[in-house]
Amino acid sequence: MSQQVENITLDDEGLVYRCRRGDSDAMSRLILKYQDRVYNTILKICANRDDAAELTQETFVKVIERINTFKGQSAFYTWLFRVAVNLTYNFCKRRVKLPIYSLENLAGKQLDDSRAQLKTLLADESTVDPALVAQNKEIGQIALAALSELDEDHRIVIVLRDIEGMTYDEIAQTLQIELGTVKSRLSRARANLKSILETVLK
Amino acid sequence: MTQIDKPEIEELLSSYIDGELSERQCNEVKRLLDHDPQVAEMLARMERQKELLNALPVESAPETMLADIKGSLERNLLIGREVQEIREVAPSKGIFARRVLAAAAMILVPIGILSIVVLSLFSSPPEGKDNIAKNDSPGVTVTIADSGIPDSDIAVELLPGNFNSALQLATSEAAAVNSFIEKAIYSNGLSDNTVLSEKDTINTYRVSSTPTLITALLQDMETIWAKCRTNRFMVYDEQLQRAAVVNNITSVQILDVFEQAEPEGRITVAKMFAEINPAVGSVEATVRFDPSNPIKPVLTGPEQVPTTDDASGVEEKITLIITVAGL
Repeated sequence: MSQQVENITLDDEGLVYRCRRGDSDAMSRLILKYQDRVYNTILKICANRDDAAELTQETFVKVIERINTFKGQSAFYTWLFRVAVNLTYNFCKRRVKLPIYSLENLAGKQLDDSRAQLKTLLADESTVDPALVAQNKEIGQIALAALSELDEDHRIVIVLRDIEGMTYDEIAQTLQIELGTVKSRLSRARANLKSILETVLK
Repeated sequence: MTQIDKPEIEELLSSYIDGELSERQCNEVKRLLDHDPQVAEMLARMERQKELLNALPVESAPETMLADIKGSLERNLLIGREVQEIREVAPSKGIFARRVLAAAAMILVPIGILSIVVLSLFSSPPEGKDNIAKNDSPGVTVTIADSGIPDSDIAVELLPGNFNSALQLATSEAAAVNSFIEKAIYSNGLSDNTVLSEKDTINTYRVSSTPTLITALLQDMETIWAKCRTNRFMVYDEQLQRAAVVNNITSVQILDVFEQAEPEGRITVAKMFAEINPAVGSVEATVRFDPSNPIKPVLTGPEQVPTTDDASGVEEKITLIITVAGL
């Protein structure tokens, strides 16, 4: 199919405008632009790859079908993540099965070295780069398992900040809460995660 | 640092490592760090924890994600159609309200259509051409019936020698409808026979192929009808110098039109549907082509001219112009 359309890079606003006008190419570009970030965020919250894939798909379907209702009062990015987080939050609330990263799943594994390495890192007793340590599969699993032990509210805010890298303003817009609530919730989430990790690494 | 202060200090440090404190608050934290090693240790631990989470490997979405999303959108189109069919077959509530609305529609729709026709006549070019003709370009202008459609005057260019048809769809789910049409075009092997153009709120697909493939395309597009608020369909033939316009044609009716072997039969069937769709009103038009410019239609009476190239045994080529207007 030959397209008489200029092939230019558009920002979110331009892509959303074109998507609202029925431009399927713009729709594809929006999906490709954000699918990995949405999937990764959902995965870190729900801790199950199959569920994360389904929720990511559901998120984009919902966003595309309702794109005409998007008024542009917030950024498309925060609107997209609001849909993703709400779907994931509701899903986690009604889920009964354990996530793949649960601490119980890790109990029987040979993780002593990784535990020791992580303990040293968090105690700030080494000069090891946390980025390198995090690439260790077992250490990553311990961190994710500890994360999955948090309440949904705490897990979500910490994932949005420390993994997705949102600003406090963006988190407030995404979760539709006050800026002060973001600060206090994030602080409590970090403190709780610290306690969980200390228990795991004893 | 006391246990009472701890939550407040934790919150302060948490915002500090994220760079979300004011200058005054930053100075306060620095003062605390200088005087309390416990606070400094707490900060270091918090920073390492944040760095650890930030450095966790990013996992990519499955490779099939885009295709899966498009598939879901299409499935939702199907479900939407089924729901609509159920509602049409088994109405249960609001009979009185529907009767009132139906009565209002019977009064208002003909008035609306009459207004469009009158407006078109009075806005005709000075040469006195047909209301569907355009003087300045080799094309015809068709107006979608719903007055709520933005940029509803859409010029479609005629292809000389071809049987031409135009299907104009108005929908509030243009992205999904366009995606579905593109997939139908692709799956019927019509990509190379299609030119897509985009202008503001409107996507136009100009498909030129055999009646068999155009019919197959329309069969695959059947599901999008439920997602369209209104439509207008037009057929016209240069050699026959005849045309017909049908408002809100159904998916079954449009297939009936294209299942006719000859252009004359297609126009006759379309005219029949134009007459039997009284609830929404229909308009039919007859055009003659200016001999000096064979692709510029002008208003005239019908004239029967044989068209198909039966002797050659080659299936004729026809054009279908699908326009999707986002609401």
